[in-house]
Amino acid sequence: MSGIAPTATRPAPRGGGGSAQTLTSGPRRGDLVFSGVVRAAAIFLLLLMAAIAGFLVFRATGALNANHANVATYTGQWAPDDTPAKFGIGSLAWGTLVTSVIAIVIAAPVAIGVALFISQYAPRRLAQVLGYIIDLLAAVPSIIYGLWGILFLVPHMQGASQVVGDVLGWIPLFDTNGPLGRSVFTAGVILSIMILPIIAAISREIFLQTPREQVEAAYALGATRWEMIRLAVLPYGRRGVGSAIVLGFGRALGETVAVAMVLSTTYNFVTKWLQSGGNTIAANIALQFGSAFKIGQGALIASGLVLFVVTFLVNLLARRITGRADIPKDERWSLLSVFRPGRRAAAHMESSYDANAADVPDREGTLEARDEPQEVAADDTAGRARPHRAAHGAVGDSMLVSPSLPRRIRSSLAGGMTVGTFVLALLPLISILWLVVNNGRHAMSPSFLTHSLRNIDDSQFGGGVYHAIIGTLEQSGLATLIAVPIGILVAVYLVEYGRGVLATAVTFFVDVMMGLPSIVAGLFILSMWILGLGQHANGFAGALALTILMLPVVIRSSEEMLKLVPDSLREASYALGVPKWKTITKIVIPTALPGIVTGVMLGVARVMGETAPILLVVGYIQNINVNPFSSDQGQATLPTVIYNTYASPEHASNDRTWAAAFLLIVIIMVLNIIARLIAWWKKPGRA
Amino acid sequence: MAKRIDVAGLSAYYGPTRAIEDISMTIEPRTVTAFIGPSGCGKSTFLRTLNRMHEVIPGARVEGKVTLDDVDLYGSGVDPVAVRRHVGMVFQRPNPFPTMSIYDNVAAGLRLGGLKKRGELDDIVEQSLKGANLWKEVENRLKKPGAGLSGGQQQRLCIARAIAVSPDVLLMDEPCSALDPISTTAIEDLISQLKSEYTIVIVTHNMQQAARVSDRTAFFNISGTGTPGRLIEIDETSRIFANPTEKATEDYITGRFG
Ligand SMILES: Nc1ncnc2c1ncn2[C@@H]1O[C@H](COP(=O)(O)OP(=O)(O)OP(=O)(O)O)[C@@H](O)[C@H]1O
Ligand SMILES: [Mg+2]
Repeated sequence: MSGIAPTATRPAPRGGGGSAQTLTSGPRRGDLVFSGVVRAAAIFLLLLMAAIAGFLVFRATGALNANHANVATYTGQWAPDDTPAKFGIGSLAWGTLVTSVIAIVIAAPVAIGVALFISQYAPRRLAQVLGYIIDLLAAVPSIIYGLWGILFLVPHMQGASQVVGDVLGWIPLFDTNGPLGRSVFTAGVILSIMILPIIAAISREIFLQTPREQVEAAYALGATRWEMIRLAVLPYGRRGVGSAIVLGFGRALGETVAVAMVLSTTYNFVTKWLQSGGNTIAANIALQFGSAFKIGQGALIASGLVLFVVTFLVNLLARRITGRADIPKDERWSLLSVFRPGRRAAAHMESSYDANAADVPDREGTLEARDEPQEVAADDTAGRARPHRAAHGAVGDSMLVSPSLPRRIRSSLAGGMTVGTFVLALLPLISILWLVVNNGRHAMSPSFLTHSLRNIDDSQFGGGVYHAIIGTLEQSGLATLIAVPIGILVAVYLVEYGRGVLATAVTFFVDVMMGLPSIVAGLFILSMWILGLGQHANGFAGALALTILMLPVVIRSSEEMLKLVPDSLREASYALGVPKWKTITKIVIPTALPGIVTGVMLGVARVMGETAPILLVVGYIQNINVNPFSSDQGQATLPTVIYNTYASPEHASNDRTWAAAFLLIVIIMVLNIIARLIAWWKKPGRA
Repeated sequence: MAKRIDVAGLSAYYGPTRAIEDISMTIEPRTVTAFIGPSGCGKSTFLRTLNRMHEVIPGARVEGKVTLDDVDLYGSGVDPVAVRRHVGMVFQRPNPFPTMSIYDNVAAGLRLGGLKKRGELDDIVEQSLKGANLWKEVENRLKKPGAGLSGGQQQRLCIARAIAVSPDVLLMDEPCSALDPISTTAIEDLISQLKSEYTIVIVTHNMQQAARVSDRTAFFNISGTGTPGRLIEIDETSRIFANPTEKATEDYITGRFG
């Protein structure tokens, strides 16, 4: 050691001795101001929710009072602006329910298979890549699914529907005596493709969290891989997967544009699911909004309120099922979990069994000694354990015998099926990417990126989406500018200060906002900002709607990342005599920053692809308007360009629609990849 | 400037449960005092009441009196943040700030306390690192992340960080328990050197360590799980180890329990 005399090296004392003078100080200004600011952000969030709810209810009651039809049972045309006003929400709710149920029935088993494949069967390196692919699938905006749905899936669904009808036609639901294709069944299929990656991403995370001891315990009992999954992975993940399915159901309920594009609308209670017709609450809002006057808007808001309440209850159910705090609450969790220490280690652990899992030594004799829940004990290998042992005598006799043939076959079969589900899930993605790239390349050119659609007829070639790029960037940029500071402050409040009623309330409402259908966010801004406060339907209104969608994402991810900052760092800082607010701003937030940035990027990627709320609150134009605060002009965005042009019969216009979709996908993918790179670059332990 | 600590009738609580009860002792300046005792007897809790870190934990509170050279640390108008500038702390696991370089780690307390002058900071950082016997090992990589050091170096970095704000007292909670024997020796040497300038309190589970580095030793104990920890006795280290007054102390030291 250095041997330097400590007296010589001791830093000069600063600030004098510990007299009463230096130990006392008034109330700390910095701490008071800072805690006041974060608390204000939290309270602002609550007030915002209250104001929004108030305006929605106010608008809705007006229309409901004017309605001359029975709102629950009326099945005639949507005519709230007629005298007398007539509209029904019951049949819409029914359609919403039917499409979502179809979606979940298709998506849930496939998603679980995909999650099992990625988390349990795929080799580690491959698993990461496959996981990324599923995450990307979850990031594809709904307008793209809608475009693919109407231009590719609907024509192909006629044949598929006929097949289903031939087999199940004796059930009235699957009667095929009418036009097929633009049916609730097709809508359900599109929705299932959209929610599948969400359920799969969450389930995969849960499966990866299976405690290592339980996996090892199962293998130590001589379980094959499939038996291990049944013994350890599935029982552990049951609640989490259940809640993922319910969350997926909630997403399906609120999905707007994809359904609006695919369905051919009718207002009856659909009972022939393969035949064209039906409607959902969200789709109806998007379709009817353009022609709605005062009562019409109120009627749509009323229907939106119904949707809001239903999705709210569904999300509440998901929360109930979850019960535990460590279960992901949305699909973005997976990306952020890179920052969770030890999480990847577990994944690695499991795949280290890859080489030998299929031929673990057979020691069935010990199976009955296990300590597993009753329902798992019904596992068929356990049933055979006793006679087997009787035949072999001591356990040791069977040490070198590989698992019995039926067990091995079952294990391979299960593995094969998960591969199958993964391929099945991949097909739509390949089809979408192929169509978007193949059809989008015709119109894609430098001038497409630098020109607007001003004075361009559908039949004319040329023109571009410069105006929409500006709109997309400005609106999501403004939303980011508003949502990020508020979101981080609220997260700081929740993690560093929050206790008691206010914190509980804020957490609760963040959950509510998280599950909010985007069309309802549009209705919020419409009823409060535009109808209530008389503001303009310009880019800024769009940014506000996007803010509502982005806030919960930013809050939730920042909250998670702040919680990951070890308390020991806070204590180290306090022990240096650093006040709390400086500890938070200079130590805690910088430590959590990479994760927070990743979360923000994911939030931006989400809102960039939004269509539904923008349809409601921003006027669509074809020319360049760089001013988002304009009082007489709206703005186009890439998704609204697609929505407003996809139905054109003209070849030239179709090319532009696909090119816009191409561009949108590229931007969103790039954002996702950057977010992922930040996560990878900054993850703990890489230093 | 090393200062003297007087504790009188101190109890500490986590919510409703009392973790330590009625502790009184005097800690002399320029001495090393070791706290020993079985796990859960409240050594860490007591240590953290000495710089008001205890109250950082939600629901935690303290009764009784702690005076630092006649200033009551729990007196009205005393700012816990200021207290911690005078009574520094080193933790069981080295915890350098991961986003900061070695230099920034040492400078953190001063910078966040408002000192911005580069030259002055440079001096103090150098002196502190020398004081922590770390200067020679890191002088060429001051801009590298502190997390890149070995565990023992990180712990000395944390000591440098603590002494950079020139406290009067240094509290150390099992500072060597996460370290290998060589790093442990380095830290123990350092403690012996720092003693001439600081009042040092160290919690340790290692009897030899207590015997090696400390002048006085305090033995804490609990009479059963769920009961609050108490101070059994405090005396010259040589006496505690050779000829303790209390039977419980002797039993503990000779390994009959704990
Ligand atoms: N944050 C906390 N919240 C509630 N109780 C706590 C907390 N920290 C410690 N305790 C309790 O206070 C008592 C004393 O704990 P403390 O950590 O001070 O013991 P210790 O002597 O330092 O033990 P060790 O030698 O294991 O570090 C224990 O019963 C412990 O369970
Ligand atoms: Mg302790």
